[in-house]
Amino acid sequence: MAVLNMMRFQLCALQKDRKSILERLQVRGVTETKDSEAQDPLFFKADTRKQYTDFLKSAETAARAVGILDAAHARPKSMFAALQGRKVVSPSEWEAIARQSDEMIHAAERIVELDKDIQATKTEITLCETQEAVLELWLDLPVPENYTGSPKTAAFIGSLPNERSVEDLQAALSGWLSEDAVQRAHLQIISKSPEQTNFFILCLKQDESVMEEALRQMGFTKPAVPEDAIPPAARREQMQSKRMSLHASMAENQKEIQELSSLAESLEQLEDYLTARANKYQVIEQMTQSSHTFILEGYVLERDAAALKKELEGAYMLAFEVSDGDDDAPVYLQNGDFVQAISGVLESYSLPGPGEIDPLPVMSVFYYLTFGLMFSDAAYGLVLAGVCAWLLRKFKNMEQGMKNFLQMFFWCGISTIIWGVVFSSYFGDVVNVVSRTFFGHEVGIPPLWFAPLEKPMLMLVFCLGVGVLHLTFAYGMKAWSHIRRGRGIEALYDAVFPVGLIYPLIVVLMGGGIFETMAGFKLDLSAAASQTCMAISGVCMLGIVLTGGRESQNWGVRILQGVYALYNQLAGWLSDILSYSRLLGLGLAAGVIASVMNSLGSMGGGGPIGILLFIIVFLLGQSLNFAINVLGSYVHSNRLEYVEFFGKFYEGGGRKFTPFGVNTKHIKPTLE
Amino acid sequence: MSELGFTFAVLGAALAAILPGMGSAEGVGIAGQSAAASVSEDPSSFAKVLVLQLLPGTQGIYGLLISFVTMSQIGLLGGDANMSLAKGLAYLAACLPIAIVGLISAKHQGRVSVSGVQMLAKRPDQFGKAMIFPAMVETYAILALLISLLAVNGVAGLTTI
Repeated sequence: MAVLNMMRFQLCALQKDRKSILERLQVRGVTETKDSEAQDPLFFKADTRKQYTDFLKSAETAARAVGILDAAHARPKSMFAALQGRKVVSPSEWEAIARQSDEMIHAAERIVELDKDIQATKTEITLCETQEAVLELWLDLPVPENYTGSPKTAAFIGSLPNERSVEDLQAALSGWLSEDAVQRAHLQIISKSPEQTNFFILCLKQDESVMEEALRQMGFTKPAVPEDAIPPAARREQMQSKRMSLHASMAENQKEIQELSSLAESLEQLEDYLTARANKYQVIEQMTQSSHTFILEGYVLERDAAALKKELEGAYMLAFEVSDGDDDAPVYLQNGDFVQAISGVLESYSLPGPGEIDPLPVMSVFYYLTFGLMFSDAAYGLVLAGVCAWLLRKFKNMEQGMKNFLQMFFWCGISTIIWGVVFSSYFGDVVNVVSRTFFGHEVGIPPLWFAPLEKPMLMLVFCLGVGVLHLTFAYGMKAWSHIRRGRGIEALYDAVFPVGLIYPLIVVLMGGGIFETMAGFKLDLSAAASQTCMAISGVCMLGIVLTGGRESQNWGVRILQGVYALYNQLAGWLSDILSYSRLLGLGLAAGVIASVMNSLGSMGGGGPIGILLFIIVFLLGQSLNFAINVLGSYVHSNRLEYVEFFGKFYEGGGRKFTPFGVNTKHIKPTLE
Repeated sequence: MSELGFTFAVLGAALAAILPGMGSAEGVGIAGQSAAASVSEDPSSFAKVLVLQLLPGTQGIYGLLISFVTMSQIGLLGGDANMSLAKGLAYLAACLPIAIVGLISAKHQGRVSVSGVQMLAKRPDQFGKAMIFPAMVETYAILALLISLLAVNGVAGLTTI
């Protein structure tokens, strides 16, 4: 399995069947439509933007209404909500959603309107509260604040900065007014605070202008009030009763929303239904139409083409033509579960470009391998695989993306178990620590192969070996993709030479002393074998020098570029292989930190308190280490694929096949 | 036997815990500020930006690892604590790769994580790529970890000094 063959289709049918055909295509979900050009004046393109945006707007209203309902009345949500997948909806239920859609749109609009009202009322209530707080300062004033006096008197109502008593005021005023005039005036402090004093002065008309000037000099300000104001106490009462009624109307609106909260699920379904309608109008805009016919173009998988053709031709009068796909064709990958599980990792990078091969099969094997080597603890692997397997069994209806993700971690977990057994790591060294601390007699599980901490150099050699193998497969993919495109000679230049360059060197290295001190063994190479290896490597070097710059016509330039290519090859091999030392680094880190946690836990000795301490430290420490190392192994497995593996052959740039279908968030319509 | 040798070895273990820890604290710190800003706009991005925030945190763990291995090798956690001055200095030197590279790489990784969080805010579908950029920086911390680990183990096996 691999990249499935994508075909182009052209469908020509009668306008009267348009709605029915589109609905059928939408539910089938096997075709991706594309814009078609009107080549004949007989044909035209329809402008459906208005319908499209109208439906989308209604869908948004429905979504907003759901948000409002959920905020008012939270629906019970399971911890595993993300895994439960969309609710499956039968055709008759879908019909029912369609039938009720107008009614439900009204309900959604009503909910949004109620919410708008509530928000407006809230603002108004805040306004009332602020005004009431201001009026609080003037409650003892018997007249409105804009009272100016009687025919014979003048009133000054307002504030002066700082806290003042009546005596302070009189003293201050006597600087401008005569003693008599000050005594004649009525001075009343209505309220005061350290910042300001609010007062009421009534003086004779004759003193008015001097009084006004005096107050102005002191920094007098008048409160802002409406023209037809009534005395503050009465105004406050009005304000209070207004606020009460606002509260009542808000409560009423809230109650109505509460009553409508049972609609949340139906409104979600409405949102999906309306989005599906909107998508249909998008497709209608892509068609070319005449008064009686329409033409729709797009892509369909070769796998589905025949069945679709048969179904459509059986049901309608139409022409359905299929031809080979072009370079614009979208990409669809199909593999077994084991391989397809890591498609998410590939999609995060890029899908294969036109004519490229599917890297998933090789990639998946090495992905699981490298993940396992980095996580490398049998107990952690068991936990990881166990949790994923349990979730996969329990939530059968989960979305495909989530399913792939969990399957990927399941296989990563299995690989981790295997490497954990090979290198003997079970929560680090928990078996040794527990047996030593609590049973007084240390036992351990011997590794199937060796313990990496005891022979780190051998482990390093092994990890680099895995790297060489991974990179060799990368060059193999490069060769294969050249051969598939009928460029066998390029496969020789770009894949055979680089591999032929490095392998003999590795063999020679394996016969040397450095290798022996690292790995503990060496190849017994005869001098002739050694020389043959060097010769093969030399030929490949020469090959790279001669072909590395083959785009260039000038032989001088070509050779120079070839030398540079050789340098790049050697440096590239060195840095790529060394990059796999992260397998050792992260693998040791996982095991050693787990052991650190175990030693910390065992510091309490073997008594009951020691056991309690051990359990607590073990649970906390191991969970932390588990989380950090899952993350690290995931990130660095990705990196090894993206940089070291893909760097050798993969171009990417493909577009994912996104069929015209019912793209829903909450429900999954089915055919049967 | 010199007591100073043991002191230098402990100094090495301490530096391996201190410097990468400082670097990771700073890296995770700045990435966390950016992550919080991103979550305030889009709470559903929490899980993804949390991963990005955590990425510069591994240097601190690597440092802890070397520190612990050193302490257990030199007998600080029980055992014979005697060693020559040369051996003590060799332990100190063995701790330096992760101590120094851990400090600096964690800071830089933190900055790349910040950019990753910002990138994710604009393109929520590009998580895979946003995660790979910080992982590139981490490579050098892993290489340093590897050398420190091999060196500490190597020094422990030396009998001639």
